[in-house]
Amino acid sequence: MNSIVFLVVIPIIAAFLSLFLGKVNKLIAYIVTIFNLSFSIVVLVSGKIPFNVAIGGWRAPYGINFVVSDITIFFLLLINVAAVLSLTTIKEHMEYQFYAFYFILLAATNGMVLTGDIFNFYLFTELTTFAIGGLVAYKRDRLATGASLKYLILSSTASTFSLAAIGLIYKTLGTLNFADIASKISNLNKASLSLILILFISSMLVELKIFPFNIWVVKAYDASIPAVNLFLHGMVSTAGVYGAIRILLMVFSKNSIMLSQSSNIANILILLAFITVIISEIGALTEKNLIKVLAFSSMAQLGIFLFGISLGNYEALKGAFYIVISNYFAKFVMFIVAKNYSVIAGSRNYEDMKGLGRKYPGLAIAFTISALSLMGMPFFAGFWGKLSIVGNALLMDKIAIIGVIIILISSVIEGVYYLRISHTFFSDGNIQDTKLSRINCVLPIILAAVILIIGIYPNSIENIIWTMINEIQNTPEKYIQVILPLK
Amino acid sequence: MKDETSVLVNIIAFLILFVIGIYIYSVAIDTGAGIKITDNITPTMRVADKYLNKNVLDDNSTYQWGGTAEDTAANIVTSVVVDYRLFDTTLEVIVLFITILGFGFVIPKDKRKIIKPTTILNRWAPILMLLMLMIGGYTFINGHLSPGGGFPAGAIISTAILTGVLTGRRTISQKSLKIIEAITGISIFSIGIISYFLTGSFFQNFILNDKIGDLFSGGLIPIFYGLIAFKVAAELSNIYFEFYEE
Repeated sequence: MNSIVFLVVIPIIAAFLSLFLGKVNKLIAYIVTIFNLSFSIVVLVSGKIPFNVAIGGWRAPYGINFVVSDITIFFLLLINVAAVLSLTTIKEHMEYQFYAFYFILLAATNGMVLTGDIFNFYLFTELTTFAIGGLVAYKRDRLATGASLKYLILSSTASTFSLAAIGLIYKTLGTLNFADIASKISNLNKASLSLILILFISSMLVELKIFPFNIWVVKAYDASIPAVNLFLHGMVSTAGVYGAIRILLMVFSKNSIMLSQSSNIANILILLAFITVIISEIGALTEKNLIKVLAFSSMAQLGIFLFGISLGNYEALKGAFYIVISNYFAKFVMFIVAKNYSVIAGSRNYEDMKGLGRKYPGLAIAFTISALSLMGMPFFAGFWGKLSIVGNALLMDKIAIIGVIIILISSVIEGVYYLRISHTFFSDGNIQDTKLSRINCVLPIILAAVILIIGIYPNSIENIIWTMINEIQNTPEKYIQVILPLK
Repeated sequence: MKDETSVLVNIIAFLILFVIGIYIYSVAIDTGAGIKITDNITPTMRVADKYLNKNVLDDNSTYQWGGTAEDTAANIVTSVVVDYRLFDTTLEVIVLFITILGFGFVIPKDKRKIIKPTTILNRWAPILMLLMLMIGGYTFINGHLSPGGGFPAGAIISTAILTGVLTGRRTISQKSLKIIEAITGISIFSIGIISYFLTGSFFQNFILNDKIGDLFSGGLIPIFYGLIAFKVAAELSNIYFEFYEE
């Protein structure tokens, strides 16, 4: 399956072509994205997973390689589905730059997931950063430029950190390959490993929207157009989550016992997750702008995800995966609903959206279902995530129990602000002219149905999650030996 | 209010620096076992060792002047950058492309005052441009033999265009710069795809059996360096025009 590199190369070529194509760009964007999606489905059903692709013919630790394993293909599908869904929200004509940025973003997020080389990962992260910087600034007003500059400054600083970490890895271990690093990491001095980890983690927290590196999030969501919101949520965050899982849990963990082994790094991460959850829930509670509420809420969800993966417990990790999946679908529904309602209401303030739920009940019901799922109501997708994390954290030490309390309080706060919004949708109000076609309601309802199916019948996805956790548990057999076969 | 938030931000920044400082200090005083950052390590058992001897795939291949090896560039840095890790280099080019495309978006455009060039610059500009083009061309043609390569060559070539911009001569239009950018970019990746169909893996060198030290050696390296040079030159020149014109 050497042809997997097409997933990166085709969008990049499309990016160059998009400079000249003008109005055809929209069609090309659909063709390329659907190509990526169908190619990843072909890889999934081909039954050759896991496999390793050496680019340039140079074998693994020496050249650059792409690896496709169970985790990879799952996140690859999530990202490409997100790309297709986000494209459907673009109705108006866009300038050629928008499509150039989009193609690079598609290539970079696919590449981040596929790559098996840490420097290559860094480059794809850079590409994502600059593409998102351009996309956020697309409106070209004061707010958009400010948000974009803020994001660019923050993530450039972060990439300096990660470049330093990569340099230190190359100096100490003499290799850049994920699998090679993972097999040699136990030779590394403990203090040196901690320094490398803290540098690398601080760069990854930008994409994961964790305090104190999340000051860009709310502004960037607020300033950008709806499609870019979905890119940020569905593609960039998902790639960031993948990076955290692959690098923190599989590459930099001694004997795959996860972070708990590398001393107080895990404690620092748990602390940061707490602060993120608290700050973002309070921010969401006081906010009236619907897009900003959603931005705050996605920060909180990623905070819970980080708490789940830092606990060092496989059951809690299962919960973290559930959180990622439920947040992925729920935020899609919510952003699309927010987009449609704000077009009708003429403002992003949710108090102006009174009565829209009576006029378009499909959208409002889909919104409520996703809100209940994010809160962790039983029989919605998010419930199983919070249940696993809370249930397993209770059995652990003090700091985890504080986390349980914080998660439960945050669920209550989420309930307050989300149900307030839902109530506003269904309360009496007068709407003047309506120009929303019913076709816009179809997608959110389908996604909400997916959330319900996962919630009522979690076994549908439980097997996939356990396959992924199994890969993390058996990193030497399932990942390292695929790339570096024993001689 | 504003002061309070800035104090808070400062405290957080100080805390982050403090935590990283603790970790750096703990590396300095650490006496535990294992490979340390402060150790001096020889290239054996490292990836670099195989790069230096050019025997990644074939144990018999050696780096010898006038001989053949698995990669026939005389300059080892070039052979790492454009052969062993070619994919990274092509992505670097994309980073430059996307940065400059975003540059026009993020940086607000305002009116700029144009100062007329002096007579000296005006007279010397054509000669300077010619020299720059010659040096730039030499740098990328000999990139696989001596220090140099696509990126510095592109920067040097673009200074020729910068000289033209400074003297007010329109040596090249922005439209044709864009065309050069796209054609070179597409051809870099097309060569990758061609080598997939010829050899079965992307970006694999399919021009073999050159001799180390020849002008035409290193397989695809001179071709890639030429394309990269023109692409970088076109992109950097775009920035100059972006600054110079409203």
